[in-house]
Amino acid sequence: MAVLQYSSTKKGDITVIQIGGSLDAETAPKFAEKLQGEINKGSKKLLCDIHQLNYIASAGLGVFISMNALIRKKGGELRLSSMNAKTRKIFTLLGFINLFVVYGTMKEALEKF
Amino acid sequence: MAHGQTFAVEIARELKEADAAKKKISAYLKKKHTPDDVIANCELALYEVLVNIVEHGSDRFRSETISVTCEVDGKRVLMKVSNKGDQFDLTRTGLPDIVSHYRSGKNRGLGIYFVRTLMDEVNYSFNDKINVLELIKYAGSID
Repeated sequence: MAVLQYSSTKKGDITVIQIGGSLDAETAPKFAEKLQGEINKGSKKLLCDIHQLNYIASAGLGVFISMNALIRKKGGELRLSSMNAKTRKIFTLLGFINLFVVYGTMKEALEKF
Repeated sequence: MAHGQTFAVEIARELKEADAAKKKISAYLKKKHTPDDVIANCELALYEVLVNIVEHGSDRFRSETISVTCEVDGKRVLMKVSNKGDQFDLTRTGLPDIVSHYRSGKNRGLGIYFVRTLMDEVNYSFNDKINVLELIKYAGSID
């Protein structure tokens, strides 16, 4: 059974969601609820730190796409940081690497977001 | 279980079974010294195919299992997924425009795009109510 871990913290006006494990068809629905909850609470800057994400399937990518669209409608944005090499290869191969704003590290993200 | 050069597994139509099959294929390919990036592409493509069957297959075939085989032949990984069901040829569906898809904010509809992008060849046949999908990935250094 696939497992996804996530936790959230506030860093100034940025909501940081740290994600680890597998974001796939099993885990994506709950994770989408989590992000939607943060957006509904009024977060305008959602930063998903995905350094420890070791697997992402189309359902997982769909969460980032749909939640980014949702937060943009409310004047906010979802961005990613700390993408590991395996995830970067998938994003690159599938053509999504340049569609999302992706920071190299969380430190850089907190400075520039 | 592995039979010589061929790995075979049958799974129920459940998401957790798709995840388990993906992990078994990955372990088999590791044993065959398949490069890591090839394994990553194969396990993800296989997972997307299985999830598609689980989520979109007709309820009339819900109790039917899905058969998965995998073999490494020279520089080629060949996975075959067979399932009883309505005819569905994913090699003939249109692929999404990625930029439009991203802008639309759709949360699903990328699985087939994943499969066809990650694999070098995808072949489909349908006989006696059995859908058979061949997923082929070439690599330079598989023993």
